[in-house]
Amino acid sequence: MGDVERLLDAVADAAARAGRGDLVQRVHAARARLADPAFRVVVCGEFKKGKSSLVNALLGARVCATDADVATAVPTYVRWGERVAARVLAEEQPDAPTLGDVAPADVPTAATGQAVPLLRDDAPGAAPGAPPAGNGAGTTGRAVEIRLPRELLRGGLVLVDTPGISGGLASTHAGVALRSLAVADALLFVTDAGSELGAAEIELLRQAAALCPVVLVGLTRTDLFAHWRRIRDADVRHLRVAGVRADVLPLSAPLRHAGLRAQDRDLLAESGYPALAARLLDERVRAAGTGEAAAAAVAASTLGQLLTAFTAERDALGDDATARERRVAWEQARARAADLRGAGARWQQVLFDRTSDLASEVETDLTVRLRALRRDAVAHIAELPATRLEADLGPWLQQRTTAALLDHQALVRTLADQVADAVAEQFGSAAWELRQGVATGADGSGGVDVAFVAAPGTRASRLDLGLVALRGGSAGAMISHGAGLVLGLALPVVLPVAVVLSAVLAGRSWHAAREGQLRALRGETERAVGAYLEEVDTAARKQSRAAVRGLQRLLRETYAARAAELLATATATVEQLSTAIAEDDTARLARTARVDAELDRLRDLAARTQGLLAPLLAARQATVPVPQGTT
Amino acid sequence: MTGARTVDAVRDLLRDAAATYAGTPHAATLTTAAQRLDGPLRVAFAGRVKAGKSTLLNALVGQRLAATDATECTRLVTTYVDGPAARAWAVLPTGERRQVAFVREGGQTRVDLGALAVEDVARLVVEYPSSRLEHLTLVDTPGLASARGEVSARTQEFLLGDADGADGADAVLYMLRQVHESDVDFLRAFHADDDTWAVTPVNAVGVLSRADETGGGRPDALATAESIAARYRADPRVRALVQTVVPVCGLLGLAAVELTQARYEHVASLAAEPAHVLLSADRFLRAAGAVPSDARAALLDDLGLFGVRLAVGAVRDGSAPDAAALAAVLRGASRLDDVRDLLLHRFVARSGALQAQRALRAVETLVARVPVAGADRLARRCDEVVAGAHDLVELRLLADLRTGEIDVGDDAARDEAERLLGALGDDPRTRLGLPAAGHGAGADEPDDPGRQVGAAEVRAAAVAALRSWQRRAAHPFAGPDVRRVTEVLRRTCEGIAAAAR
Repeated sequence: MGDVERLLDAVADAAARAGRGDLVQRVHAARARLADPAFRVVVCGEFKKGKSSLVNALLGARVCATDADVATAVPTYVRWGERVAARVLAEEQPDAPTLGDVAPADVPTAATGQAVPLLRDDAPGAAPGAPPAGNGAGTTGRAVEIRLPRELLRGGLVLVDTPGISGGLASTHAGVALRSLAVADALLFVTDAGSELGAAEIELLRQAAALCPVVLVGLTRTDLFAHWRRIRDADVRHLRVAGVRADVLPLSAPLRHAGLRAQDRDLLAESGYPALAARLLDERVRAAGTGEAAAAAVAASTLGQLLTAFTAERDALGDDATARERRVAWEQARARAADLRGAGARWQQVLFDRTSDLASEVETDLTVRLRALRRDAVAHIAELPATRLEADLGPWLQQRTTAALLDHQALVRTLADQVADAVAEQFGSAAWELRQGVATGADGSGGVDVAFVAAPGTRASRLDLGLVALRGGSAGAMISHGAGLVLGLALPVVLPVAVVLSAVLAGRSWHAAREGQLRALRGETERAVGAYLEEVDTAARKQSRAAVRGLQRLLRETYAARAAELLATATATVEQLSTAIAEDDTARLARTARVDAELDRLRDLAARTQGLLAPLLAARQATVPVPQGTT
Repeated sequence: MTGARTVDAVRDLLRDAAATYAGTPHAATLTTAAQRLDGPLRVAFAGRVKAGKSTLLNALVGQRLAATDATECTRLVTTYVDGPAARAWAVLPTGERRQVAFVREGGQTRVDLGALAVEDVARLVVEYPSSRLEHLTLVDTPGLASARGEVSARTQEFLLGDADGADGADAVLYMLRQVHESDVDFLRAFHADDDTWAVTPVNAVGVLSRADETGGGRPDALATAESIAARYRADPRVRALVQTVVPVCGLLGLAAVELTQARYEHVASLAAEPAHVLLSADRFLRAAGAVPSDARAALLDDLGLFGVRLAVGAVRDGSAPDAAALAAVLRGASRLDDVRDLLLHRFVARSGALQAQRALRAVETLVARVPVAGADRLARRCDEVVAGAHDLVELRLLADLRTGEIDVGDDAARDEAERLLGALGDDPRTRLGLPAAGHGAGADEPDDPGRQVGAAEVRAAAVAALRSWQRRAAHPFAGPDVRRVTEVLRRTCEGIAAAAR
C-alpha cells in the first residue's frame, strides 16, 4: 500500500469521526480509482512495420502473429496474469464480455480474425488442439486478450496490438485502430528504419496525438539498416514540422531475442527494448502520479472541509459574541448551499439550457455531414465505371465515412467542453461567493495550500482533477474529456461496406450488361449505399445522444454532490456553533480540548497531504489553485 | 505482328493531324510525337518514396547512373537516354534545355545544377553510352506519398502527362514495397479517363521491390516476397491495374554486376567470422576482423545486411567457391532477370504497338477536345487505323479483359485468352503456351533457323486454339463477350498460323 492510499484511509477515518458520511464516500471512490491502475499502450502504425514483432520482443514471448504476409485483424490486449491464459472477446473494447478461453498457442490465429476452438471449462489450460466446447467450427472474436506473468505488465501496463493501417483512413482496419486509441493512455507508433515517415503516417500521427496524451514513435528494424540514424533524424524533423511531440526510440527485435537467448546485456541494451520498457514504465508511473495527485487532492479538499467546520467551532467555543456572529454568517451559507443544491439553482439552469443546445447542434451536424456524404456517394457511383464499382466503391465509402464521423466526434467533444466549462464556471462562482460569506480572514485551513495541475493523466484522473479544480479555467474541459472517453465516444461499429455491396454486386455477370442494366445496377448500388449510410446514421446518432445525455448526467451528479457536501458542511457547522453557544463552561472546555485535538490531527494530515502532493506536482507545470478551507 | 506497318499508319495519321492543326500550338507537339514513334520505348519507374526506384534502374543498366541514398533522394524527374557521351541537361519550365555538369565521384554519379535551383528545373535528361539504353529510355521519378508534398506532385504531373503529351511514358514499372492504399489510388489515377494518355494494365507492371527486406529481412524473405507477389497477382484490384507483380531486389542485382575479386575475398574472410557479427548492421560495422572497416561499410551499402548474410552463407556452404559463382548466387536471388525479361518480352517486343497506341490516343483526345475543320475526318482515320492494326485491337482487348470490362466466364479461359493475346510475351510459342524454342525472345521472323523444326507444331497449336475458341463461341450459353474475344483471337491465331508456314 502506497503513501497516498494510507493518507486516504486516514482522511476517511477523520471524516467518519466527524460524522460526514458523504465525504467518506468520496474518499473511498478516490481510493477505488487508485486501485485500478490499468495503463493502456496502443501499438499502432502502418501495415507491415513490425507492430506485432515489437510487442513480442518487448515481452520476450511469441504472443502476436508475425507472419510476413498475414496481418493482425483484431486488437490483442496483453495484460498481467498469474499464469498464461487467453480468451476471445465479443467486442473490441478491453472490458467486453468474454466468449470463452482459448489455448495461448491459438492467440496468433485468433488475432488474424480467424476462428479458434474454445477450451472446455472443466479443462482450463488444456493442450492446444483439445476438443472444442460445443461447436466444432471454433469461435471468432472481435478482440483477443492474453494474460502473461511478465514483470513489465505487473503494474497495470496493458499492451494493445492493433491491425495495421495502410495509407491512412482508407483502410477498413483504420477504424479498429482509431477506436482502440479512444481508450489509450499512450500511443506507441511503429515505423521502420527502411524509410522516412510518409505523408499518410504523419497525418495519422497528428490525428492520434490529438486523441492520446502520450505519443512515442518506435523505429523498428534498426538491425537491418546501416543508415537508421539518418532515418531517425529525418523522422524527428518531419515530426517537428508536423507539430507532433513524440520521442523516437530505435528498436531491433532480432537483437532483443538474441540477447535474451544468450543472456547478453550488451545485446539487450543495443536492441533498444530495455529503454522502451523503462520509458513505458516511466510513463505509467507518471500517469499513476497524476492519479495519485488527483487522489491526494481529494484528500486535501476533504481535509479542507473538515478543518473549516472544526475551526469555526473552535472560534465559537472561544468567544460567545463571535460565535453568534459566525452562526448568522453560516446560516446564510447554509441557505445558499441549499439553493445551490435545489432544482432551481442557476447552474442547473445553465446545464439544462446548454445541453439542449448541444443536443440539437450535434444532431444537425451529423445530419449535414451524412447528407453531404450521401450526395458525394451518388455522384461517385455515377462517375465510376461499372467495372470498378465493386472494387473501388467500398474503400472509398469506408474512408469517407470514417473521416466524416471523426470530424463529427471532434465537434461533439469541443462543444461538450464548452458546456462543461460554462456549468463549472457558474457553479464555481456560486460556491466561491458562499465561501466568501463565511471567510474569517484568519486562515482556518491550517496550511493546506494545494496548488495542482491539470496535466494530462489517466482517464480517471482527468475526471477527478476536473471535479476538484472547481474554478480552474480548464475544469470543464477536463470533465467533458473524461466523460467523452469514459462514455466511449468512438466510431460506431457497422458492417464493412464491402459486405453490404457484395450483396448487390457479387456474382452478377454485369460486365456485359447493357445501358439499361447498368443504370439499374447503379440504382441498386445507390440504394445499398443509402441503406448503409442510414445504418451509420442510426449508430452514430445513438452514440452522440448517449454522449450528450451522459455528459448532462455526469455534470448534474458531480455538482449536485458537491452542493450536497457544501450543505452538509454548513449544516454541521451551524449545529456545532449552536451547541457551542448553548453549552456551559465545563462542557465547553472539554469540547475545546476535543476540537483542538481533532484540529491537531487534521493539521497533521494536511501537512502529510502537502508533503505528498509537492513532489507529485513538481513534475507538472501549469497549476490550478484549489480553493481551500470551505470548499 | 504487324508492328512496323501499324507504326507507319500511325505516323501518316500524325502527319495528317499536324497538317489539320497547322497554325495551332498542337501542330508542333504532333510532329514531335511522330518523330518519337521510332525512338526507344520510354519506361518510367514510379512508386512511393524509397521504394527502390533508382536502385532498380541502376541495376537494370548495370551502372550507378541514378543517385541513391538512405533518405529521400530523387527530387526531379530524370530521363536516361542512350547517347555518345555522359552528359546531362536541365529542361526549364519554358522548354529550354541547358547543359549541366554530370559529376562522377566515388562510384556514384550526380547531376550538379550549378547556378540553377531545383525549383527552376522542370526535369533532367541524362545521356549515357550504354547498349542497355538502346531500346529503352528509362525515366526515374521522385517518390509518391512523400512527406514533402511538392515532390509527389511533380511525379504525378509527369506520369499523368500534360495535355500536349510532351512528357509521359509508354510503359510504367510500378514499385511497391507492400501494396498501400496510396499505391492503388495512384495507379487508379492513370485509369481515370480512358481517352487520355492513360497507362493501362497492358503497359504497367507491378514490382515488389526491396524483396530482401520482407518481414524484417528474415532468411526466408525472398520466398515470402514471392508468395506475397503471387497473392497480389490474383487480387482483382491489382489485376485491373498492372499486368503482373514480380518480386525483385535491385540492390543484389547491382551488387552481382559490380562484384570484384577483392570484394569476393572480403566476403570469404567474413565467412570465418563468428555468427553474432551479422546480427545487426551496427555490429557488422564495429566488428574487428580481417576486413577493414571501410570495406565493411562499402559491403553493407552495396549489399544490405540481408545480402551480406546471403553472400557469407553461400561462401560457407560451398555454393560460391569463386567470385563468378557468388555473382550468380546474388543475381539469382535478385530476380533481376525476371524484370529484364518482362521488359523485353512484354514491352520492347511490342514497342511499336505501345507507342502507336499512345500516339493514337493523343490524336483521339485532341480531336475530342479541340474540334477544328477536318477533325471528324481525323476521328474516322483513327478508327480505320485501329481496325486495320490487329496488334492495337489485341492491346485494347487485353486491357478490357484485365479490367473486367469483358468477361468470358471462367478464369482459365480468361488466362488462355490473355496469353494468346500476348500478355506473357509476343512471340508465337509463348502465346500458344508451347515450350520456348531455345532462342532469344522477340524473334518473329519465320525464317529464323531455330523455328523451322517447330513451325508445323506452332501451326497445329494455333489451329487447335482457334478451334477450341470457336467451339466456345458456338456454345448456346456463350455471351456476346466470348464471341467478341473469339473474333479477335481468330485473327490472332490465323496470323500465327500463316507466319509459321
